[in-house]
Amino acid sequence: MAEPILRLFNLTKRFGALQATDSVSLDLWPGEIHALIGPNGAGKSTLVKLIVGELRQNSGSIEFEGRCIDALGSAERASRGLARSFQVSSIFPEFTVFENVFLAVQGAERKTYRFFRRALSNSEFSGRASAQIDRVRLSARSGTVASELSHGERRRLEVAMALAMRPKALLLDEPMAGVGAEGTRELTKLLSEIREESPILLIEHDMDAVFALADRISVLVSGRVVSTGGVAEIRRSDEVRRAYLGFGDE
Amino acid sequence: MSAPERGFNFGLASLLLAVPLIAAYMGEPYYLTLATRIAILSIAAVGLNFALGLGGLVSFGHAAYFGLGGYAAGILANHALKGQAILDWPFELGGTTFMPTIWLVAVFAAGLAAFLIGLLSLRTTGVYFIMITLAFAQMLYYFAVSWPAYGGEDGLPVYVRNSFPGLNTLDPVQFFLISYAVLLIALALFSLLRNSNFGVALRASRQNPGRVASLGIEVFRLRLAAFVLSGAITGLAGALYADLNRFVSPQMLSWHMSGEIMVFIILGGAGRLFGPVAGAVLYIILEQSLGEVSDYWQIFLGLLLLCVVLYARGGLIGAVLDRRLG
Ligand SMILES: Nc1ncnc2c1ncn2[C@@H]1O[C@H](COP(=O)(O)OP(=O)(O)OP(=O)(O)O)[C@@H](O)[C@H]1O
Ligand SMILES: [Mg+2]
Repeated sequence: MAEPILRLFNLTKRFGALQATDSVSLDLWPGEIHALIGPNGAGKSTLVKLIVGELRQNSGSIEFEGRCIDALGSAERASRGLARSFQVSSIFPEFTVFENVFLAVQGAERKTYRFFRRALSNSEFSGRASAQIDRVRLSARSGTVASELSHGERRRLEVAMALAMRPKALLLDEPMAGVGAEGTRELTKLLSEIREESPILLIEHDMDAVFALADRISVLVSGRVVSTGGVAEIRRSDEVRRAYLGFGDE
Repeated sequence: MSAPERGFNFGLASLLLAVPLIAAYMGEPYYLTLATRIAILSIAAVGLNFALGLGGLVSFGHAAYFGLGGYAAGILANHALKGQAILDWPFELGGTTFMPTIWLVAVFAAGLAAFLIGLLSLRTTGVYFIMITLAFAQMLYYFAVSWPAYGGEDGLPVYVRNSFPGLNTLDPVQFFLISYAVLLIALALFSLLRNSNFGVALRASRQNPGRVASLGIEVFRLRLAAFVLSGAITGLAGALYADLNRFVSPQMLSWHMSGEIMVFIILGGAGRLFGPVAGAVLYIILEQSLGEVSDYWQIFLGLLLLCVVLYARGGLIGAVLDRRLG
């Protein structure tokens, strides 16, 4: 595997006068967790939205599995294997946990245009959905309507939905925000297992989790990547300390 | 669906079948006509329920499909009776009074119109979508009014009732049973689709469309498919309605009609299998009972609608069942 799964070339995005993404070049290799850190408003979520096609870049280009995906819509990118979780939980509130994850399987398998068979009786899809629900420890809540979940449970549901798609690249936008110490520990363990199935671009503010998980770290400040390197390297870098780690460090 | 709701649905379906038949047997055939009208309007509303109830697409122009279905029936029958071809070129196409053929043409015409209108209107959402669907229906309405070939403003009479193999469609009981059977088929289709892969995705798109796309499902395509299906079923109802009245007029295409179909759904309970039926029954009962007392009965209808929207979002079915459970 001598090729990155995902590759960004000089990606630029402006909101009016604001340069939210400023010629970002970055890649994600099989088997790795690439963490993206940076202060609030640095443009991390914007970068994720560009990659999945929710926003369009002003210039630059995105390659996925060696092919340019600039022209593809977000649904097509997703069914080719780009899965994401949202910084602000985004689920189907009237559906049960199981139905939420089931739909993720169905979407990834491109089996939406089946009209007459009862969807949930598909045992293969159901099995896949249950397995992922199990993995994020939501089995006991499988039949619960998603609007009744706690904040932490919603975060885990998001992760289960992303995993259920059997993604080729996983983009997680602050999956640990607000899940508590115990939740962070469990999620850290889960993500480190997942890395072999699917490389992860991980946006996270919890530096302990980032340092425990990341193979590489990129630091984003005002839309620019100011530094990319291994954990030890980033920890040492003065520029990073100034730009980010000094900020909010106890 | 909960067990009480299933019970309610079964009860409603039985009443809609039994009451008019008993009344007809006791020499009150008027109720049979009323029940036939309820059944046909319910079919139209089941059609809209695909788009509105499952997909959250507030179409305020479903009269377009209802009217197209009606005109398909009227025009085909009209030509057949006069022995005139509809088209001489590029191929000869005559009229027909054969119901199954008429239904097929109605479904196809309404589905095609829904496809074209959906293609343009589904790019918008919210109030814009409501307005653009209304605008398209109004365009058809004014076209029908100003096109003299098929009666224009005065409408188009259909002198005989179209035929169905093995049945005497002029017999009100038999025509009611045909309409009732089509309603049951439409409901069965709704139930199947709601729980299919397609239905799950469609219901998801009502709750959170952006998220549906992020799971690899194209929302526009999903909505377009639902919209076509929705229009086609409402078109079928239109063909039956033309047969019931033996008359087609631009009234079928008017925005009052669109509003009425939508009111059935809101009254009965959007997205619920029998919501359209409950709504249509309630509407016709109100029209018949209050309409006798006052010409302004729709004021009461308006008040009732207001109460439903404010206090019973699940419609009549929701209100009845929640009371029983609570
Ligand atoms: N749709 C938009 N229109 C205008 N400005 C936007 C839009 N989305 C984001 N921005 C701005 O772009 C900048 C980057 O936002 P972004 O959400 O990408 O930051 P972030 O790094 O994810 O921050 P956080 O850590 O708070 O999540 C911010 O200044 C934000 O206000
Ligand atoms: Mg963010």
